[in-house]
Amino acid sequence: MMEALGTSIKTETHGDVTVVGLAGEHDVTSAGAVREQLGTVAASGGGLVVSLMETTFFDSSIVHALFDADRQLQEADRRLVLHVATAPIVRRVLEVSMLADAVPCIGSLSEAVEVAGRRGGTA
Amino acid sequence: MNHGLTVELSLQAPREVRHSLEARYAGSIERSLLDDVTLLASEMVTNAVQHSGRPDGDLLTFESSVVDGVLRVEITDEGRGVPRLEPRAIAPPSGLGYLEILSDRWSSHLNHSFHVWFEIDVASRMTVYRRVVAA
Repeated sequence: MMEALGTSIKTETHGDVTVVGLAGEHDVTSAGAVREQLGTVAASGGGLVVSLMETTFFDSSIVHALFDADRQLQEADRRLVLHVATAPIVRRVLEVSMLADAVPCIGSLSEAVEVAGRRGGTA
Repeated sequence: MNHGLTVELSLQAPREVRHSLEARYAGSIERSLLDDVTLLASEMVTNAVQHSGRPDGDLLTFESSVVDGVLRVEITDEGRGVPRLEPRAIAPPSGLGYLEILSDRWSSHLNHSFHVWFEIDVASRMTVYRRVVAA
């Protein structure tokens, strides 16, 4: 979808769950495109996994887009799920932004997709 | 271990500063410390790009140093709009809120140009790091 300086936003579907992969560095330069993509998926009524497996950096503008997507999903009785096992700096951002406390962070993609496909919470 | 850089205000400026920090300090300072410095510097430069009120192409100066166990970063732009930055006490924290969490001290002031700086006590952090590793 978007490719600049090793930065990309890729999407793939697993049933009614869309996995959005953020590869490379994501900051204010890509925040608008990320927000738009997450908003489109969240509005579709399906589940959403954001994969940070290939993310090498992301900043607070992306964090806010992720929080907003989670809020939007909660209105449809779903939750955002993060697919993570990532670079230390990415884990640090998850920690300091409190995103790691707010949404499920799962290392297995199949498990992340399964959790994102549920309605009525993540338990 | 001083480092200085002048970049043009643009959406690419945060990335330029991050890459410059990586090139200057990778291998010289501990990775988790460099990650924190990189994140904070990126957020500060982004703040300048978005809120300084200055046009694209205006210059922003980035300086970092490690002196007597204190790593200091200072960013200067020509903005005149805000006398002093005050991160809002919100959850989740804003980018400036990260300064409160990850730095040992930080501040900003308006003196012809707008300056924002932060410091991290490298020596004490390394001591904590070594204790955790040894435990």
